[in-house]
Amino acid sequence: MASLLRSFLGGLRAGQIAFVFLALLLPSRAAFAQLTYACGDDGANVGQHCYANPDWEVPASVSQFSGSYVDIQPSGMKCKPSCDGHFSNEMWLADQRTPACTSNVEGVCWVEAGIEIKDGDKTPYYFWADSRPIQDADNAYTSHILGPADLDKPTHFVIMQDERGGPNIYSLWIYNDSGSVAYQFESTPNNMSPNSIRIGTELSGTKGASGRAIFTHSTWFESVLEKGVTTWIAHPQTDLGNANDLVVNTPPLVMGWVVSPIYLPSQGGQLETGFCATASNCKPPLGITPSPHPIPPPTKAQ
Amino acid sequence: MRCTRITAIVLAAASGLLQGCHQQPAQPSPEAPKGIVFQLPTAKPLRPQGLPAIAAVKGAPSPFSKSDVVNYFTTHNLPRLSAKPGQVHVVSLEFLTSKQVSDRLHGEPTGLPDGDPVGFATLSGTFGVSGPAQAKHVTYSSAFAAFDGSTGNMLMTGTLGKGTVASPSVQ
Repeated sequence: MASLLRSFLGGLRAGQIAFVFLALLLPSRAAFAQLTYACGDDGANVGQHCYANPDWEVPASVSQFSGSYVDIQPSGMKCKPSCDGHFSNEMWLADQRTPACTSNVEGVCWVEAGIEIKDGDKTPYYFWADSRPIQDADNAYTSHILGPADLDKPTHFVIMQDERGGPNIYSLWIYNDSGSVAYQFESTPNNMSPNSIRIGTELSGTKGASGRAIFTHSTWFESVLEKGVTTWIAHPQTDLGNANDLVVNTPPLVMGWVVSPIYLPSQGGQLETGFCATASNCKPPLGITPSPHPIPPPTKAQ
Repeated sequence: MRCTRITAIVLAAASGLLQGCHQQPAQPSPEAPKGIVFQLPTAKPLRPQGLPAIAAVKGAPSPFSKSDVVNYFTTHNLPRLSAKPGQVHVVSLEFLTSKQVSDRLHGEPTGLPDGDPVGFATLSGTFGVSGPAQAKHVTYSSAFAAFDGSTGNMLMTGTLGKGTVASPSVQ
């Protein structure tokens, strides 16, 4: 079976593969509207948020991730008037191992960036946020709302350790190819040493949110930005991270690889996240395309 | 010859990434490239617009009032900082410069020029941070919201004071 599937997929272009799966398996828009879920009340019950995201740990060949990149393009991202939480598609670059971060009350430091919509909003907006390793600080977490999101084309997100202006800076860029979106910020002082990259969806509340998102070209950076250097070494993700199956992380969210990073290792894969068709029917495949599994990874050159 | 081929693969992959990556090879790559060249964007950064929130009187010493902020949080939640509408209490509202807000937040930038006015509202309630799945889930009793003094749009939210672990992480 695996060889048949591999043979079939090998005869198609990647875009055709995505089209075939999407056309066959995406549920109707009406199905999304019926959904209720248990992703935490706001406030005290925030711990029950739902997630759909793969997680990549830093490879043994390097001491840390110096940064990460992904393209995100949501579609149908809504938080209807009855929506009682938030819904975001984003990337997290996190440190969950150094003492300055594990001793934080959250047990981890991070910089995140993405596209969010919340209750009461008509349109999604770009945001970024950080929780820095600042001991005894009065301000542990800050988020920034940047402006309305352009959903017509993918938006590029970069978070990168940046030593051009001194130590302890992570720079981030949110931009598109036309230049109509161009935000740049610094998370500083921030001396985290990231060992985790996540891309995917976060959801809070109990009802009213809907939509899907495509994540492409998930990439990690090996080198730090330095003065006088204009290009840097980047590595597309070449495996599925810790989400090594057709994972439903926490219903009602589901995710799947339209194009596996194993199959196209130079492209970092194409992940899609979305919602289960109904609350009682949330097993893959449910509208999110299955990854082209099982396909053994190609032999990697070292 | 092998070196030339690898260089070609690397350049092709880099080209795809920088162009928004619309091109994909027809066949699986025979091997994973060891790395691609990445170039940062060069477009001039935009001023953050924020989220439309309060009608501001542009140029006034106090472009909006504490009661405006109270009214806003009667019907709106906080971005990235969960709290039920109607359960956010506005403790105070100050008008500071962007630089003063950044200093108060231990260097966190607002995205505005240093001298631009920012309305800094201190809030009380129960606030939960939206973080990665591996984070412990923490609540805070104090938070802030920062508004662009020129437009009344909400620019930033964040926690103040120490948090309390509410539940373990998802994973």
